[in-house]
Amino acid sequence: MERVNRRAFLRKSAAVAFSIASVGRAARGGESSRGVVRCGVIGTGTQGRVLLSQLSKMEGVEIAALCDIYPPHLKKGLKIAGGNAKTFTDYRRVIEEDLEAIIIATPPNLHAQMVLDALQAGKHVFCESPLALTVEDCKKVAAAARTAKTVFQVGHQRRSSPLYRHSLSFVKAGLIGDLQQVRAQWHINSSWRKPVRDRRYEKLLNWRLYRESSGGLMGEFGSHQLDIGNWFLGATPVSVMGVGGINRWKDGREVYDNVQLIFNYPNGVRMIYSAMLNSSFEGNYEMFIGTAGTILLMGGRKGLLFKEPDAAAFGWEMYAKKEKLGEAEGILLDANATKLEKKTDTAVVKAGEERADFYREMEDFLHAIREGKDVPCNAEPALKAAVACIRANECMEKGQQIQFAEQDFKV
Amino acid sequence: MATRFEFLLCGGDEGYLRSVAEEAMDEVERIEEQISLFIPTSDISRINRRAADEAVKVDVELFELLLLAQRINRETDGAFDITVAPILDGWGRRSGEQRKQQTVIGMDNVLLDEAARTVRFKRRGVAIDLGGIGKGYAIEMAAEIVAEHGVESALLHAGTSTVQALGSPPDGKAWKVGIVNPLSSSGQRERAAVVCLKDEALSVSSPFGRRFKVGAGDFGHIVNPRSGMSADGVICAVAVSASATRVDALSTAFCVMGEERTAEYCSAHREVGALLLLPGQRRVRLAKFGEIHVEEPCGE
Repeated sequence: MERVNRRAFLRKSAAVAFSIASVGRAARGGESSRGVVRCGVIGTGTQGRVLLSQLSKMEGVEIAALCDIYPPHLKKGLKIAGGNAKTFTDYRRVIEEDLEAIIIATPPNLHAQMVLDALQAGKHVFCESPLALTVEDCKKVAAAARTAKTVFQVGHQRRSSPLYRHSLSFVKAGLIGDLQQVRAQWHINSSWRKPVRDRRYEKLLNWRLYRESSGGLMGEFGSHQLDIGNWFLGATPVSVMGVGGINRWKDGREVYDNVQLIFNYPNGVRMIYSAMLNSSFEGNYEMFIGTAGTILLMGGRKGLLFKEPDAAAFGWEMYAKKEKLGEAEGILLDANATKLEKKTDTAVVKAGEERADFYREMEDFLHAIREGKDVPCNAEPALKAAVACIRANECMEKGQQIQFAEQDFKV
Repeated sequence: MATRFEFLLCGGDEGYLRSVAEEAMDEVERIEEQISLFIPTSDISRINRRAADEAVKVDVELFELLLLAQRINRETDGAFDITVAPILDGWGRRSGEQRKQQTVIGMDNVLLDEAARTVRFKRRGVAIDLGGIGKGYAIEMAAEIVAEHGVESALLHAGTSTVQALGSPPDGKAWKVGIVNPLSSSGQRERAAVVCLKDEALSVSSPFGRRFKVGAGDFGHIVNPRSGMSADGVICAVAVSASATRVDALSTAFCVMGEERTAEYCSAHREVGALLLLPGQRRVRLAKFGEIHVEEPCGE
């Protein structure tokens, strides 16, 4: 097992970066016959409409087909698409259409078959996170994506965030020393329940509340933050222990409304994770605790660096904006403005214009299709995040620590 | 929008009503992400950064909202104007630039291309701010969701200044909204009138709600887009119609338009009612126009 000290981390990161690049080349787009990318969106519920809205702001995109089995969602999707898209209730008909790209934003138990069918049909595919609900399905998708000639991207939107990329460059450059711990949470005050008057639609609309269609908090929130943990640590967990329960929303749901877990990574590094629907205090964040400093990323909007008192001063530090958090003063991480020290070999991080991460991930998907660029998150890191969450759910269900097998994260 | 939204939903199962309210609140958050001037990743922020250099494509929803803002601007003869942001910005941070800023004020500086669904500014320095219509739009969209889920009795408000009433309250014929005289001392909160609403929206604006000090002067936050100066002739304007979006914009416009032009507007737009609180000899004077049901008028 590899140590996750800084030196080893950098080596590991390089290896991960290489493997991503290799897969990226195999699954690359690079051409669009008409210059305009014709897209179909399968699943026009809340998240599908968020992605639709992003696509509708972009030049060179035609939203040509929409699919949902719930008519009100389809109608709302059509309004965003601008009214010219064809509508379907069977996703297979969408795949048969003359489209370059398919965006899948359905409940995750449906992802695997849809992705496999779309890739088989030669489409570029964007699939929402989590990749799938079973280890077997995750692996099937990852294997298909690896051999596909088309682009495959998973919706871990923080991978497209300049703030996260910028912060990772700090970590990689050793500016917070050796990483000791990751802490992450996603706390909201919400029942997560959709209003349903006709009970026939209960499982269709409240799919997040039932285990057959949802990974619960770990699937919906945890998969994103586990991906960030894996990404920053350049590693996957070796074991997980934790507890979960339904403490507040005792309304017949099957998934926990609060979970607390510890993911053990190589070299004693831990990721301490909490998600809940019962309080919004402190919202969502990821915190990377190192021997020389701590980086706090708050919901993708703001990043702060807190230095240890004995850490070396940075040349640019005096010019950086500062912000207080309680008693501590942090350096505001600004992906547009901050200049790193020359020794980090990243002179200036230029993030370009500020855009929402959902916009950026769609933009990255289109760049991969048009120009053959690598996607920010292909199937392999998505598989690692999804499998970590699936095992975490198993561990909470069994009430015992689970060791990850080497095979768990392999395609 | 930096505003507190509160929704009161009545009737039926509490769990169901909560789930409806949560969906409506999510809608408000979604709209805020899209139109807030304070969120750098919002579409409005992007338009303000780029539209002087290039046409900026926006989604159908925002484009329709901008078209509506343009229409209300024309209907009110420029009294409602989403391009006043540079003046407000000037008052907030620096004074003495109003004359220069006047050239960038006016909806004719904003080019909306319906075929391409793009926004373009005619000149550098133009900026748009949907603060005068956005709260109402968010409330209207939230109310649509509430109604869509079969809730027939509800009151939704944004910052107590824009309210949408669905149906009537369980114990009455209409929702009653008290209009406070903004000039009353903060401890007393003197009620100037009560407006009754049923399936209607109401919005209230007052230049005395928020003020800026510039030199020796004291200015309200409602600006007459033509003069660039604070519109202080009306103490408080109330607009009522079916649409929260429209009344949000109109209550601001009525503050600028004053008594005579508000009366003209309401007689040309029968679906809109207005109540103005105007300076009286001893107390405030109330002026009522069009379709608005006022109880307990307490003015002169």
